[in-house]
Amino acid sequence: MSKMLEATCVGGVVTADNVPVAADILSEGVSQSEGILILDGDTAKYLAKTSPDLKTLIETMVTILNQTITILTGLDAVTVSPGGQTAPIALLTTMSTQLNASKELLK
Amino acid sequence: MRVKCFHGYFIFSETKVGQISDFIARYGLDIVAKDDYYTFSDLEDAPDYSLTGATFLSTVAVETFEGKPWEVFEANGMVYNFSTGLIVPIDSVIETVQILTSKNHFIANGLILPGSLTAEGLRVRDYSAWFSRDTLRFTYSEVNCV
Repeated sequence: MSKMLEATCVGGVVTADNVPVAADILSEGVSQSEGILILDGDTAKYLAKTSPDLKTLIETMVTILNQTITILTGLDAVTVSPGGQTAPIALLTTMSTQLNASKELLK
Repeated sequence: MRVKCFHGYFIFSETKVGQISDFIARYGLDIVAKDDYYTFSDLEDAPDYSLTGATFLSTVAVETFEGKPWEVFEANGMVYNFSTGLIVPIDSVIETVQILTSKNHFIANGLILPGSLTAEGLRVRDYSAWFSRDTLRFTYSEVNCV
């Protein structure tokens, strides 16, 4: 039967119960993370929680989308613009809203 | 009453009701129930894992390991010294023990302290013993040394 402990990882160093633990890191282990140390016999493996990474990624994508919408809206409004981009811009806005909402639904 | 010493961890079990309480009353040892057996109260909270450098009961673990408490003891080379109530490295035990061979069992004077040195220079790590209320002696059916 294996044992799971709460742990953190910074710069490839896993820490649990306030001591560094020599463990195989199953994620990248570069950025600071919280996760789980799995002990099974003399084997120790660290598994980071990836949801914070995903949440940050989604927030970045939403920011990019919103900035794109702002730029496109401005371009579409100028007199020399061919116009007619209202529907695609509206679609981008919908996608941005959906993407933003998805970060609250991470499993 | 049966006494098993697994890698310096103790398990007491009754073959008749009341043996444990009699033993406790006679010798004043602090023995408590744990899971489906009895053990010394100092071992009651023995973790089922150890992390190198982290506190493990009264000592510091030297290995990262997960398993039954006695397996963790073995992985860390520790034994329980019931005289001092401390978990100690097996190599640090300085007591000696004389184990006599009888027909089909072994005899020693009292309960063997795990890690004790035999006349052959080996250390007692595991044993299985029976305590008789009639003779007040321990009879050892198995003694393993390292």
